[in-house]
Amino acid sequence: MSANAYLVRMKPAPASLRAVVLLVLLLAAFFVSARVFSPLLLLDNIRQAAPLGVVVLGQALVLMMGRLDLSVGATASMANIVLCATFNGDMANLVPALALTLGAGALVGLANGIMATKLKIPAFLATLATSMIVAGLVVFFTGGSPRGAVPAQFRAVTEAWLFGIVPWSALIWLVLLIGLMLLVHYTMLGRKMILSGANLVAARHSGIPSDGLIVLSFVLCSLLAATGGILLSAITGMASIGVGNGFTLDSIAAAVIGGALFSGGVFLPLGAMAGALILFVVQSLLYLLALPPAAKFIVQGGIIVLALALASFRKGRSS
Amino acid sequence: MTKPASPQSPDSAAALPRLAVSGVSKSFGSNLVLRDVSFSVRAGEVVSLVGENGAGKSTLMHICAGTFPPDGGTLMLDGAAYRPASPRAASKAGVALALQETAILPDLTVAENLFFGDEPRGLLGLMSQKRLHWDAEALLADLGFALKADRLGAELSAAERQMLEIARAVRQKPRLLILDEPTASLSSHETDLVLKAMDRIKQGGGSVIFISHRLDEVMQAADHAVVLKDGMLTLDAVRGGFTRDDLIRAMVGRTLTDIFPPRPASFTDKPVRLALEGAVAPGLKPLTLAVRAGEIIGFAGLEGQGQRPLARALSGIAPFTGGTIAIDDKATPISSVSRGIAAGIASIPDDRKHEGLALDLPVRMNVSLFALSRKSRWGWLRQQLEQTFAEEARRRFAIRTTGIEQPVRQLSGGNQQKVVFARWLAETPKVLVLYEPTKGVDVGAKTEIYRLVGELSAQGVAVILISADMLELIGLSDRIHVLFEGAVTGTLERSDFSEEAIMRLAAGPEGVLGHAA
Repeated sequence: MSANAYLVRMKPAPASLRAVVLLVLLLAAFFVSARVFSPLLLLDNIRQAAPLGVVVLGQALVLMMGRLDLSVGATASMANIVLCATFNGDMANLVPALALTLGAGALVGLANGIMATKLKIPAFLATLATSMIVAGLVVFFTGGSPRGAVPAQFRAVTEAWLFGIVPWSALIWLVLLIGLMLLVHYTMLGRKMILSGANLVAARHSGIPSDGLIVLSFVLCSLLAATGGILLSAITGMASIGVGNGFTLDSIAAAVIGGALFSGGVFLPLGAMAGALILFVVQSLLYLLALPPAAKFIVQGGIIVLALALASFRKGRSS
Repeated sequence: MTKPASPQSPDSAAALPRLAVSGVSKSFGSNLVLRDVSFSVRAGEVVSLVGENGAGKSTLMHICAGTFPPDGGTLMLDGAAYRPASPRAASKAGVALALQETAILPDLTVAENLFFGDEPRGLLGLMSQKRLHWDAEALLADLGFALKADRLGAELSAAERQMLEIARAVRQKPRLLILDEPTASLSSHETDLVLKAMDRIKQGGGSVIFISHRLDEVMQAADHAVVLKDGMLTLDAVRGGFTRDDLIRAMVGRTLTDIFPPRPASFTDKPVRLALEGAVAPGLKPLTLAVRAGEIIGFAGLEGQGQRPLARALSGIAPFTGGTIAIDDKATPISSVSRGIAAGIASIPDDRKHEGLALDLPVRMNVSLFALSRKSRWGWLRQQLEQTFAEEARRRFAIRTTGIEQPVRQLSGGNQQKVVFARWLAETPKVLVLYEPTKGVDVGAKTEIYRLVGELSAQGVAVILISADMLELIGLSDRIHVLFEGAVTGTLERSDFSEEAIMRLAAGPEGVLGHAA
């Protein structure tokens, strides 16, 4: 009985499963096109998808609160610039580099959260504004030509494999995913966040400090965006302006493919992971098929439509 | 089922009824709303249609007014088959419907609203503002309604909008006028005007069907009463052939003593649980109040007389701004919702969909919040405890659901309300604030909620019941305070309870005559 209760709770939501099935189909297509099945190729995809995957976790959290964060791309790009500048190619600067980068990210989240609650600015406008301000500040401080680099040893985070089997970046992604899952689904704090996201007024009237929880979700989201930027920097190894800008729309697309709802109240970590991988595998598949880059956007758009159409089709039948 | 005594008087035996409804049924989806309903309305007769919320009254009226067709059965209007395809067709046939929720255009004047779509034409067929205004003034004066023809729709109060809606229906000189709860937002003076207007239509040979929850009104105005319960006709009798008690029994299927818990005679030996001393809040004048353990104190009044500010202040949503509040003789300022909860206040909101529930989340997550927060250790959510609590709540509150994982949205109104109760009553509170606790709830669930409130009061919970439902106030309360413009203008003890007494106090200290002028 008790074990059964846990099993029922652990069962993934239908939306997560749909995303996983879609992912498996895409992977099949990918391996058929590559004419080779190699688990290493799969793991390499996961390794490269990790930066986006981490950002999607944050976006999914904010979506759960019924809000939207349009500043994750700018925050990840900023993280890249700050990290490279503080590192300056020297591993000795590891602690200040990470602290400064994550600190800057947290500040962006705090600003988003305060605007969305205390100033009552709709979240997508507030985060659009911070996104512009952050991008502008980056150009202002770097004069358009960013300096510094990530030391070679640090690049091991994304380039090295644990025991030669598991990429470190995949592991980081997994740990963050499990951490967020525990927070949302296994703590009172997370439960109060879900209730606030599903019905803000009802949550307030039940004594839940919803404003604080919304600020918390924005801070966590920006921290995850900054982490995504750090992982991305480890892959590219250098500072370049706007390197993470694509994360904004990709993270929303991935979260929605993974079953997130704009109306809030839903957090599906498995779906968020599958969503990020789907976007990445599509990209690899198109590259493999030698299709023009424009095809990527068309196919991604198509996948969003497909995922949502499947979801509403199922809903229509069940009700 | 009571048979009509004899609706046809001997001298008009040959006369056909104005409206004959026979065997009408209607269902929405799998929900059977009307079941084989038959009755007739004679010319020059006022028929009162009575029933609980959800009994099918409004559906029946909408069928008569052409909003949608019945699934089965027939309607006859003055002897001819009557099958209106739309409200417009019904209105052409001489049937007008004045709705409870009125559709007044905010940017048009009273006169323009009154003649909308049928404006008097002047020279060259153009609209004549002057004639429009004149005709409107004449009609309103004729009805005795204190409404200025040049005021904008947006400026009108709920009561004034209702009067306008009625005037609009009367203007069409209908053969049959249907009024859906015309007096729900009106004061007693305004109600008299509406009853007079009905009388006038009757004198002119027209017929009226009016829906009302106020039984005094029904007893006063109805020539003929028809009662619906759960979609079926349970009473059809002409004046003199029914009493108030007959109506109540037909409405709820049992007598009042069965659905309301018995009340103790006196509470003077009980300690004071909640004491307010000159407590003020925005929209609420200084309020002094003492509620003893186990007492149920009702708050009555017309719409918007301070009920909402009172409920919100007591629950800490919009706290009291002055005065003293004490719970169990200890000063307890309820400065926020969480302070209120900590002090032992449970508060059931009037709008469960917006203020009480997360509709898309399962029953389990909706009921468990307080049970979990009290028992969680180190901030971890105790899954097993939640599971057990939710199952237990489902049994204790008789929540009808396919399981604790079913989203609350899929439950009926009554079961949704039980989920709200289950959340707040995880532990027995000291003070229970009920704000319209049975709005949109079926009779069965209502009875269960009343029984629950009775049990809690027996356990010493002080209950504040803020409601517009007269039966509920009278049946449940030990004392009723009547609110008018944010102040308590009168208090009734159990022996003095009656709808008339409440309405008299609700109309305000000076009566409404001065008010309307």
